[in-house]
Amino acid sequence: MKNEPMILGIDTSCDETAASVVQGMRVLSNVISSQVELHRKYGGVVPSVARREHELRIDPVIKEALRNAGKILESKIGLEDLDAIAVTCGPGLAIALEIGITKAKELALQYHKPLIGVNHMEGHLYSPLALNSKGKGPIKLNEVDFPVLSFLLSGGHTELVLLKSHDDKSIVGQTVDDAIGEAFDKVARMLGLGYPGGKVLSDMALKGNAQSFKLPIPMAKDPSLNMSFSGLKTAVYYQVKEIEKVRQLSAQEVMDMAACFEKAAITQLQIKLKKAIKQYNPKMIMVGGGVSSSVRVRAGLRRVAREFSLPIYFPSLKNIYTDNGAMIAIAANFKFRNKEFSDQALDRQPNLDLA
Amino acid sequence: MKSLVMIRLDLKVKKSEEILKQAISVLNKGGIIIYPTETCYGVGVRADLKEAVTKVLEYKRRPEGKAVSIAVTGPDMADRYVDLNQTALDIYSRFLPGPITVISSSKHKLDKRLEAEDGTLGVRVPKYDLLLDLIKALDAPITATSANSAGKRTPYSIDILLSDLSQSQRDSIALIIDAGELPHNPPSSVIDTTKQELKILRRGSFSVGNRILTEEIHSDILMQKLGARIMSSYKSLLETRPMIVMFNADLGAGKTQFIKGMAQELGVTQIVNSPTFIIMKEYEFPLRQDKGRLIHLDAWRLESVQELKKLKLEQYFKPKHVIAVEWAGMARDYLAQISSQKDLIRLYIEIEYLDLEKRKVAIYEE
Repeated sequence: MKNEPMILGIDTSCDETAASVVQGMRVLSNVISSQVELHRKYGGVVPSVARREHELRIDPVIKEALRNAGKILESKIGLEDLDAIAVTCGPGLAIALEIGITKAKELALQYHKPLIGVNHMEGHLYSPLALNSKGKGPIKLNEVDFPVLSFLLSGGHTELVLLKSHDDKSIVGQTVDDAIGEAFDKVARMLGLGYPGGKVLSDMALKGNAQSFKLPIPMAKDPSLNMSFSGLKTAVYYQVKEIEKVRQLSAQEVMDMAACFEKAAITQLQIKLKKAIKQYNPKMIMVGGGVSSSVRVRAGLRRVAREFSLPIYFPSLKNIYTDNGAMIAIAANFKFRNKEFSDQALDRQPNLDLA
Repeated sequence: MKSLVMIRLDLKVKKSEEILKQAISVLNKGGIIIYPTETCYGVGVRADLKEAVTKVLEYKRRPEGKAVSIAVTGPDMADRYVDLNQTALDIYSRFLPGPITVISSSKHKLDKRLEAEDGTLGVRVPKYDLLLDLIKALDAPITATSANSAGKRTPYSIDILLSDLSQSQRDSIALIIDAGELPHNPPSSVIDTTKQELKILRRGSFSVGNRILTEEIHSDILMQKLGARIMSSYKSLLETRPMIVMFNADLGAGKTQFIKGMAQELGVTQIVNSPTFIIMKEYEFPLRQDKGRLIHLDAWRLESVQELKKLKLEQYFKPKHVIAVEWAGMARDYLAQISSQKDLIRLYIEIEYLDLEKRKVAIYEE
């Protein structure tokens, strides 16, 4: 394991400023900006640091990532000790991506390290391969059996991806409107559960009756592997609106609606996953993205996998579901092996596709 | 101050009045107590005593800057320390007491180290009578954070907790209220009520320029067709002029459908889906011998014009570019201002919900 490359991964694709150090598939540190304290650095409390202030956060985040990795290895880690610097180059918000890329280029130049541009979606896709600092995880790299069907479920992504090999990936199905995590967050807001409330919506759903409201299952009859969540969200909205004309929803009704919404969303995922399995005969299923941390979503997808006697893997580390730098460094491993390095011309690609 | 000797009180043995009395005395002296809740064991000090807060932060071994919630008896007491908006009040009345932490804007009455970086404070109303009685008698909030240090097991029993603590942590505890093994309920859910205020960007009314169309639309497909129709009547002008289309409409009104129609008409081959999460998406389309670009922006998650400015939209105000902005609402003035010098095609689109199937669309040109 000692011989595996040590890579710094940086992600600034959207809201979070994130950095991580990995050695092979082993995550030595994984820092996201919301954990790092800017207070001390700025000598007092920053009254309101706006989100996406990546310029302000990137240096302390990288420093913390190196420091935490050093604690694991019980020796100080500096940028000079790295084998490569990886950064998300897309898809994402242009002005946000820019900050990470500029920083990565600067460090690569200064420390004479290879630079690796990584697709954010590949990061999520490979997140179940992340091992903890002791080298333990749901699945080892050499256990990956192709073809793999990967399901990305997050606030910004809802994609079914087919991997024929590590170098041959294609999107075979995707949302035609809202991402699933976005729909969870917006429905939570309609139910008065704050924003972003996807997580609390899932918590509430556990105590609700999933039979109490009638909601549509979008795209159930659609022959493609594409998905849709906007119509479901709208259906919740107008049912809530109708009730609220007369009175407020009770606590139980909120939990019931959460359960019904979650069930309809999961049913759609199950239908599409089954269809994709029949179409592509994968050997295993991998799931990534923030929504895959929901207990019911996991159970729902597991049920489908069991039906086809397929193994299914979810990310297992803390902070590896949502946007993070570790998954970027993990995905960079493949490019490192093939010596697919980027040069100083590396540019942001806000619309980057999987190819 | 001489260190207190740890006392362990068993709820099954001691009377609760007696326990309350001792706990109050410890807390008033700035001491640390371990207490049961409906989730797991928590560690508490009076949240309004600075030295006590220092003690609990040391106990938790968490880096400064990580917020620590407080426990209160209900909305009246919470109101002393945080701004309760309507969402928060609804949650208090519907779900509390219960295993939920409600995030609100802090009034900065307590130690700032309890707050998150953005000046918010988490508040709990635990569903545990003894605890509520204690806070009531104390007439002050106590810290509400699990009694384990970061990364250690969730403490459902005192023995598990103590075995995970260091000697210095154990020494810092003045009193333990032992209620035996607690049911293994998950930690509290967190509801953030601060980020959904309808801040300046989202809403507002247009009614500017000349109304060029009013139509009732009965389905998603027809909404797409309308988007395509509108686009087709401006497409020939894109060669020499940029175009901006601003939307003012409710959730689920059909904005995305309209933009899908526009994109189809322009010849975008990719699937046009929601940009809410990454805020802005770009698509290319063929235009004569050249390429055009469709910029799809959703201002829903932006909280200020400042955030919008950072996107540098001006760079797209050139021929062959179409910019579609969802939730343009009050960003209108800013968008109008930065686009005023240019020879822009400017459309405002309002979509109104009539009933489940029916929408009213009004389009203005300026």
